[in-house]
Amino acid sequence: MNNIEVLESLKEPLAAVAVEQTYRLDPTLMVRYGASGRDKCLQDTFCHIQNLIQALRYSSPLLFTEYVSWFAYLLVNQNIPVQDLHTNLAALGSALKEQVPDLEESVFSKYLQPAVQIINKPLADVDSFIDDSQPHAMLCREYLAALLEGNHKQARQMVLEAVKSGTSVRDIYLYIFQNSQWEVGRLWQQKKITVGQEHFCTAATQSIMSQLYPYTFSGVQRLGKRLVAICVGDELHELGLRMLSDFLEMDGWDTYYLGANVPLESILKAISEPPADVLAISTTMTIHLPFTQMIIDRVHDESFSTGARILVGGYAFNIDPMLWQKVGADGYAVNSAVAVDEARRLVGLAPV
Amino acid sequence: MSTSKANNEVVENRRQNEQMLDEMSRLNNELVNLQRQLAIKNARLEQLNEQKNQLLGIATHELRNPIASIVSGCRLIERGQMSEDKLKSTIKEIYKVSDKMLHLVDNLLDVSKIETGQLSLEKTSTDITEILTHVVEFHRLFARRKDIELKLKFSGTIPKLDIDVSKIEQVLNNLISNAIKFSPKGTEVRVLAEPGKDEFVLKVEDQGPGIPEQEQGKLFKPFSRISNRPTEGESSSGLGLSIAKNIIEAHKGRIWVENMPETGSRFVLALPVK
Ligand code: B12
Ligand SMILES: Nc1ncnc2c1ncn2[C@@H]1O[C@H](COP(=O)(O)OP(=O)(O)OP(=O)(O)O)[C@@H](O)[C@H]1O
Ligand SMILES: [Mg+2]
Repeated sequence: MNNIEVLESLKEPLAAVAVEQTYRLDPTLMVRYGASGRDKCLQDTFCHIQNLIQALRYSSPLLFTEYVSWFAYLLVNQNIPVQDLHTNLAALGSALKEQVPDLEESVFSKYLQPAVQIINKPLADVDSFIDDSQPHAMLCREYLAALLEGNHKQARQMVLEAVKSGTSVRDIYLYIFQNSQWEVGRLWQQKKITVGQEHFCTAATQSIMSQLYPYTFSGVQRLGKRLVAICVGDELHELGLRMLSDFLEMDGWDTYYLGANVPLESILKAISEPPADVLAISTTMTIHLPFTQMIIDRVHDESFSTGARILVGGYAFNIDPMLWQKVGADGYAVNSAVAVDEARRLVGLAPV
Repeated sequence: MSTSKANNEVVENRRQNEQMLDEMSRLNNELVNLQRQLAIKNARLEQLNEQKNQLLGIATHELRNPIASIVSGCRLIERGQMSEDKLKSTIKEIYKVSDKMLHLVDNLLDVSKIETGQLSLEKTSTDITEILTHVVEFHRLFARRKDIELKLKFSGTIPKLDIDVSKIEQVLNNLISNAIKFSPKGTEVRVLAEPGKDEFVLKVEDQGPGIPEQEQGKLFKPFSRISNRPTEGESSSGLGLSIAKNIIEAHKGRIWVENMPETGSRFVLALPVK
């Protein structure tokens, strides 16, 4: 067993020991957060370990530092002092030393310490994703405001009118749907909106996207290329992949959108009958990377050669721009607009 | 104690709430996914319907004239006041027109098969030199009638190819017949077979009018005949190249056209070598 496998097998006891130590290091935690706080701490610590394992597996400190700074930001916005995360990470460090004595020093120097350094500095506010230098910023702002007020109809009206007066569906996707969703994420993280609002905005945007479909899909010259699109495991974040599939459909690909929670066997079937030219895999949560890896390994397996090329993307791959190569994918794109040319490259078609 | 219990309840409620929200989000994802499938199906059906109408329009238009000429031929024969020679030539004319119609109907059937995704290949490992020789021999007669010299040249050893023989024959027939059909008398048509590294390349070169730059885009699309017309009244349904493109791409190959430096066109097809 290598150390990553050791860590993988010790995830649960490690989290328990680390929490034990956290509360020993700072007894006021119990007073401040009670028993339910301790349960939450156990969940969170488990999550830290899962993220650390993924970072180690892909030799990508970025995956871990990005996660920790995201988490710290989340805590601060819930009025939980960063100091508590500090204590927790210190405890995790010593639990690791204790439980896995021959762990490489680099785990500490390249992963844990840089993460701690990041949260030592004052956390910078994440800038708004709706930026006046981008096209349609006004519309995006109004669209989001309508949704946050629960006014789905008004938001839909705005978008339909924009399309009727000549704004392209692609622009609506990138500058209205994508940017407003990213902004929703930022506002949620800052506790400025509720989880309910986050769900509402997403559902409303998904529904408005569907109402654009008559514009999206009509009169496109077919390319005769087939793309199967999936999210991995229990991934709930489907909007990015849907956007990607729609962009390719608009480019003339025959797209087959499977979404999340699809068993491996069904995926393999979907890419072999009829044979797919490209399999697109979207991964948002870093902790879902093992599923992504498993699918890539299986599809690339000699014995199962359908010739499908693998295109990856999503939030997790945008954190570390080298990650796509490390998982062994054939291509990657930062967003759905870039993805069209990348997919074309994979099947030997000229870019648009 | 009781506050902590109440606290636990709050936490538990919130957890359930979030689970419920996530479940709704999952359901919503499914719903939107179905909507998407429907929208795509709908768009495809509309497209197909439009093509069907186009097909119907062309078919009726193209079939009307030959049928009319068969009918008038039959009427003449029925009257029975023809010389032996005239009778023979009328029957010959009826055969010729019927052949054209058959050709058109066959092509239409192929197009409709392709449009509905029913083009299926029966591939076998094949020596293409034999097929080429055979197809070229078949066209030699037509070439001679137009005083066109038809040449076939192989360079190097040609590997065996994994192809659907009758479909590839159909493509070769179309390329060679085009070269003859659209070229003036007294010219030359060359068929060149060249083995590449991982592709087999076939070129059909002629000394005809070539393909105007601005018309090259629609050449391989169905129903789009371009400005070049057959030089000796041969039949032309404008479907051959679109069928050829579909067949070649189903073999994971490529087909394209280049203009020759002087005059004439060069159709190139490349098929992958296993
Ligand atoms: C909406 C949302 C949700 C919704 C999702 C509903 C749905 N049906 O999709 C709900 C509420 C369910 C949800 C849940 C959670 N979420 Co959430 N969510 C978001 C949010 C706000 C927006 C996501 C979105 O719609 N983006 C818009 C699309 C268009 O952008 P995109 O996904 O990046 O996709 C583009 C590119 O990445 C690329 N792309 C995407 N896929 C692919 C694939 C290929 C092949 C290619 C080439 C390109 C490509 O092209 C796309 C279009 O240009 C993000 C914030 C953010 N910044 O993204 C957080 C976010 C993704 N969520 C996060 C988290 C932590 C969670 C939860 C764990 C906790 C929570 N927030 O409640 C759960 C986990 C659920 C689960 N099991 O998956 C974190 C993830 C951090 C991380 N990587 O670890 C984020 C980043 C929020 C944050 N900043 O804190 N979430
Ligand atoms: N070698 C060539 N030289 C000049 N023009 C050509 C040549 N090959 C094809 N064309 C032009 O392209 C058009 C389309 O060719 P295609 O083979 O699809 O149809 P067709 O030969 O007219 O009819 P069909 O093949 O269905 O009998 C032709 O009508 C002709 O105008
Ligand atoms: Mg032809």
